[in-house]
Formats: sequence, structure tokens, C-alpha cells
Amino acid sequence: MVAANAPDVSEEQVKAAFLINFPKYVDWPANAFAETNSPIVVAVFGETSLDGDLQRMIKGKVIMGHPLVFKRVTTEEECASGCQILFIDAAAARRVPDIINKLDGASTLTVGDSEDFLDSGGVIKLAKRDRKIRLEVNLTAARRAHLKLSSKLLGVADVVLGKPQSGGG
Amino acid sequence: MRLLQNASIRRKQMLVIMLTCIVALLLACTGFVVYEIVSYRQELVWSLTSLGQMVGDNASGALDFNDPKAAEDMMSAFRMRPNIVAACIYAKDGSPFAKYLRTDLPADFSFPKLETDGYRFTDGRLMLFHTILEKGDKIGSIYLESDLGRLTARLRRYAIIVIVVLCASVLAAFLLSSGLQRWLSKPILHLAEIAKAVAVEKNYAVRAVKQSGDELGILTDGFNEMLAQIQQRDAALQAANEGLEKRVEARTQELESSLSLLHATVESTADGILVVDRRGKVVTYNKKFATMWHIPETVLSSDDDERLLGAVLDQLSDPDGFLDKVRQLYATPDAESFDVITFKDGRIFERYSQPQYVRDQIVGRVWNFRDVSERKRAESKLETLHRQLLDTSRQAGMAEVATNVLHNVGNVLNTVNVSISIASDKVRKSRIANLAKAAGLLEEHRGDLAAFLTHDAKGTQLPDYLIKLASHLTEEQGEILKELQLLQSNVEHIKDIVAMQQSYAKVSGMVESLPPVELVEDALRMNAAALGRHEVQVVREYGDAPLVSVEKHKVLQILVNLIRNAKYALDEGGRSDKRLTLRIARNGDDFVHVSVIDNGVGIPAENVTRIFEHGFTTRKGGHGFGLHSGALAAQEMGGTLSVSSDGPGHGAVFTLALPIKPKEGK
Repeated sequence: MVAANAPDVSEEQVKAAFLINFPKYVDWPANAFAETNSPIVVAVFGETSLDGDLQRMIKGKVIMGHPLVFKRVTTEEECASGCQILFIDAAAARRVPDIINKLDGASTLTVGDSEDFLDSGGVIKLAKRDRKIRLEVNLTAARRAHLKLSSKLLGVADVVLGKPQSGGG
Repeated sequence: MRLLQNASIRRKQMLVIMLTCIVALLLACTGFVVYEIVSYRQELVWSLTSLGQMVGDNASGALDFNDPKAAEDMMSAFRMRPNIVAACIYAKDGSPFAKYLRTDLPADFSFPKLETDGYRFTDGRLMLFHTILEKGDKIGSIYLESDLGRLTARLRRYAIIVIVVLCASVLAAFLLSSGLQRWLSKPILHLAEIAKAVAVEKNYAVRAVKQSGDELGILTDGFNEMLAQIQQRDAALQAANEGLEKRVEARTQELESSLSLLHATVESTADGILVVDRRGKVVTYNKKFATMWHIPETVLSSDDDERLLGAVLDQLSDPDGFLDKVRQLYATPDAESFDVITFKDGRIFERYSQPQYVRDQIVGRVWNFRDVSERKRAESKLETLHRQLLDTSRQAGMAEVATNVLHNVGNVLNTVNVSISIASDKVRKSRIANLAKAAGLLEEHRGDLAAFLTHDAKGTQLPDYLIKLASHLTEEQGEILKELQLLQSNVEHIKDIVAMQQSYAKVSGMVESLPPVELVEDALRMNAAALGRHEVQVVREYGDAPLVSVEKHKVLQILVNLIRNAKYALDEGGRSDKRLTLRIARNGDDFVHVSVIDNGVGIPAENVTRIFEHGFTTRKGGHGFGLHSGALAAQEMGGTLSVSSDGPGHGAVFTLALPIKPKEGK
């Protein structure tokens, strides 16, 4: 089969697109939004390599009535204050456990690309394999954050941790 | 359709039924098949759309998270649907993201470029595009291509069904119609058979059997009625024909016998007969014609008119005149002709021709030639004889007139004698002697004349006597003068009679303009003695009449003859009141009629026509020339002499018409 990605599409672009696509496959609990048209905040922790692409691609994007907005957070406290999606890149890998702790079950979809992101309590890891970005999912973490992940999402994930059949519970 | 025009009604009927059946079935089948095709297509579109929606829906994650493999795995489920030929998921930017191909298709199958949602049928394929949405977000499109293999298979099945049903229906229709048509066509075929029998055998006695009360029944009735009429008319016609044949035969026989009679007549006649048509072609002729004209049979039967004409003309003394006449007659087909033609050899033919009519239509001309050479010779001889006779007659007539003249002169001389004796008697017995006596008395008394005349008894009576004597003598003189005048007139009469005789003696007379009254009076005078002797009362009825241009002696000869005849007729009639009426009356502009009418013995009707014939007479001693020569003389002057009589005992009227103007050309 032909490679889906054209050579001119960068890894950052793919990751930014994934971040923007996630709201379609994730159900936040009803209290996650103040209004039916409250924005879905896509936050990045610190400065990441895909900030530029993300900011460009998110402009005007609306999912199910919720406009997507870009936000940069720099502190753990900030992370827990109303972010629906939080991307933490490999550069901030050391701070993931703290951030997860700080979130403390808040309905925030944590996405990262660090090697042990899932083990650190992150929900979705963007792993690079065969020069392609693949998904890995930690359902336990998702459950902790009261998030429901679509089966379609799980269908394309390489690794799914915390499946009811396979363990955890 | 023309081929079927002469097919039997049975075949036509079956054909109609079967055709109707087939067409109805075909229409129904077509409707079903079309409906099937349309509904199959709709179904296919619908199922393909839902399939695309389902697959697209499932593939959204793979699409959003860039997992073509997952998408292709999903599409591999199409293997369960062999009608899906190819499928493709396109990314949002239109680039193919994942593909599916049926195993039997080549790997280099070219997928179409991304299109908007919709479907189309192309080349037996259904192509369908469907947008993939995830949470209202358009993330790509799916393309599905399906073949219509099942439709084709289904259609094939339908075709088989249609053919089977059609065959079965046609068979059923055939069986049914062959059963039914017998019911419908039997009466028609029966009728046709009867009609054929009538036509072939001419048997009008057969009748068709009525089998139903419908239109065919009416037709059968009508046909039978027609046959009955034909039979009736046929019989009548046959009877008429037989009668006609007999009549024709009879007529033919009549015609044959009349034809043979005609032929025999034509052949037996002494005349040469030639019949030509309107263009002058010979139609028929008799042998006599050929013989008379010395025309060989070969020329006559050769149909060569020029040769025939040449042969004819060569013999004639005036061929041009002959030809002119022939041409003139062909130009006027309805004219009759009669003329005489003379031959170089001296023969003379009378040629008579008349048109031949067939039902008022002139079809030709009949020429009749009679050889009159002998007759002409006899005629010319007769002519000479006649002339001699005429001369004789004239001389005889002259002699008769001369006798008459002498007789008349004798009569007049008698009168003259009487007149003379009367006159001499009167003169002899005249009282002229008394005058001499009176004169003597006067001579005696010459001296005393006065006394004698006054005193003497004789003397006093003498003047009266003288006066009486004078008147007496005057009377006497008148009587003598009268007698002398009569004498003179009688002498004049004699002179006239003599002059008349002299003028009559002239051979050719001179035409003069004369008063008819004078002529009649002359004639009367010439017969006066005889008329007086026989106590015939002469009545003169003279009307106003102009002068007539005649030869005096001829008129006198005729009139004298007529008056004498009348006198004889009166004598023979034996009546006491013998009356001869002479009437002069103008007749038209040209003639004066002088009629000599008697109430004598009359003329029998059979003699009225013969009375002017030469040599005819009823009188003993009559030579019969009188009326004949009279009529000729009248003709010579341009007049006529005619007679009429009411029969024996009723007298006769002879009328001499005399011309007022002189006869022309003389």
C-alpha cells in the first residue's frame, strides 16, 4: 500500500492534526462544559515543536458546536484549570506525573509523546513507529479522567492498556 | 399484410388472436422487466449508499488518525459482496487514502478523481461517492463501484421466463383459438363453400344453413334471398334467351332468304349494279356490271380503285365529265343523280345513283347502269316518226280549220244573202213611189200651189202626208243602212276568216300582244253558225284581263277546236238547255285563263288523263289530233291546256292558260 502521508507532511503537522481530531472520538462528561457551545480548550504545556502548526490548524475549527481554542499552560496549576486536551511533549516528560496528580481526575485528555507517557498516567501517547505516528491508549487513565474513548479511536490504536478483559478494573 | 390478404379467414382469425396474445404478453413482460430494472437499480443505489455510509463511518477513525491499513482491513469485508468491483477512501484533500479491488481486477485499476456526492451508471457499472462525516466534520469521501452482474443474471432469468410464458401462451392461444375460431368461422366457411359451389357449378338451387342469430345469420339469410332472386332471374333469363335464340334463328333465316332473294334479284336484273362505300371503295357489284363495263374480275376484286377507275374511264367518250360527276357526288353523299353516259364504241348508258342508307346514316352509294343504246336508237326513230306525225297532224288541223273557214264563210254568205234580199226587198217595197206621186201632185198644181195646198182636199192633206212619208222613209233608210252595216260586218267577217286562214297557214307564227276577249270572240264567231244551229246558249263571263303574248292562229286553232268539241259534247249530252260558257280570268301575274265550259256529256275519270294523248279520241271519225296538238301548241307558246270533269253527264271544263309575257328563249 502507498504511504498515506506525503513526504512534505511533517511529524509536527500530523501530531497537531491528531490533537484537533481527538475531540470527535472523546466524550467528556456533561459537567466538563459550562455551556453547550463552550470552547474545547486544546492546551500545550510549555513550548512545543507543534505550537505553530496547531495554532494555524485550530483556527475556526468547531466540533459539535464547541469551538476549538489554543491555550498555552506553563504551570501544573494552570493545567488543572479547564483544559479539555493537554499536550505534553517529550521535553516535559519529567513533569507528567506531577501534572497528572494535579489534575486529580479532572476531565482532561492528556496526550504526550514521551516514551513512558502512558505509564506516567497519560491517556494517549503519540508514538512514532516505522516513520509513522501511531496511537497508544491507557484506558485506566481515561476512566480516571471520566473520559469515554470511541471504539473507532481504539480501533486504530496500537496499544490499549487497561482494557476490561485484559486487566485492571 | 398483403401476403395475408388472400389467406383463409380461419388463418386470419387465428393470426389475429395469436398476435393480440403475443403483443399483450410482450407489453406486460416489458412492463415488468422495466419495472424490475428500475427498482433493482434503485435498490442497488440504496444498498450501495448505505454500505458506503457504514464503511465510511467505521473508517473515520482510521482516516482521522492516518491509519490506511485499518481502513483497508475494513474494506476487505467487501469480499463478501462480489458485486463491489472497487472501493476507495479519499482524504479530505482528495488524495486516495485506502483502496479496495476485487481480486479478479488488475492492480493498475485506475480510480476516478474525487467527485461530489452522488451516483451514476456508466458502462454497466454503478459508481457512487459518499462524504465521510465524523461528528459533523467532513473528513473525507468513500467511492464505491459495483457491477450490474446480478441485474444481468436477473434479466437473463426474466428473458427465459418471458420466452417460456410466451411459448406457453401462444400454444394455449393456438389451441384455444383453433377451438373457438371453428365456432366463429364455421358459418363463414359454410357460406364461402356455398358461394363457391354457386360460382363453380352455377347451381342457384343450393341454400346456406343458418347457424346463428347474429350478423352471420343475417348474412346467411341475405345470401339465401339473393340466391333465390338470382335463381328466379336466371330462369327468366334462360327463358328469354331461348326465346331470343329462336327469334334470332328465325330472323337469320329470314335474312338469309331475303339476302339470297336480293342477290338473285341483283344478279337477274338487266342493269349493272355497283355499290361503293362513302370513300368510293367497291362493296359489291353484280356480274352484269362487270360484263357491261368489260371489267375483268381480277380488277374488281383487286380492291384497287385507281385501276378500276382507269378501266372505266378508258371506255368513255367524255371521261372528264364522268369524273367530275363522280367527284361531285362523293362531295354530296345525300344527292341522287341521273345522267347519260356515252361510250367510245357508241353505247349509251343511263347512270342512276342514290345514297345507301343504314338507319338514316349514309354508308355509301348504289350505282345503277342501264344499257339504253337500243332504246335510244328506237327513241330517235320514234322521234322522227313523231315529228312526221305532228306535221301530218298540223296539216290535218289546218284542213279542218279550212273546212271550218269555208263552212263559216258559207254561213256568213247565207246571212249576207239574207241581208241583201231584205235590203233589196225593202228597197223594192219602198214608199219612195209615194213620194213620186206627191211630187206629181205638186207638179200638177204648180200654178196654184197655194190654193191647192189650202183648199183642195188632197192638197190640204199633202203636207201631213209628206211629213209622214219623210219619217217613214227615214225609218226605212235606217233599216236598210242597218242591213247594209250588217252586210259590211259580215263581209268583214269573211275577210277575217280568210285572213285567219291565211295567218294560220303560216308555218311559224308571230307572237303578238292581243286582248283575250277578241280571240275568244273570233273563235266564237268562227263557230257561230254551228252553235246557232244546235241552239247552244252561249254565256260570256269576261273578267278584266290584260293582253296576252300569243300566236293568234294557234290560240284560235285551240279555241275553235275546244268550242267545237264542246258543241259535240253538248249534242251527245242530249240536254235541252245546252249551255256553253266562256270565261276569261286573270290567273296570277303571268297567265290569263280562258275556260271553255260545257254542261254536256262529260269525261269519264279514266279518260281525263289520256285525253291529251296522241291519237286519243272518243268521237267516231275523230282523228285524235285535236287536243294533242292543242296541248302541244299551248306548250309551244308557253302556256298549258288542261281539262277537268266531274264525270259522265256533268260536263267538262277545258282551260287554256295563256302567258301574259312572251315566252323566253323563242
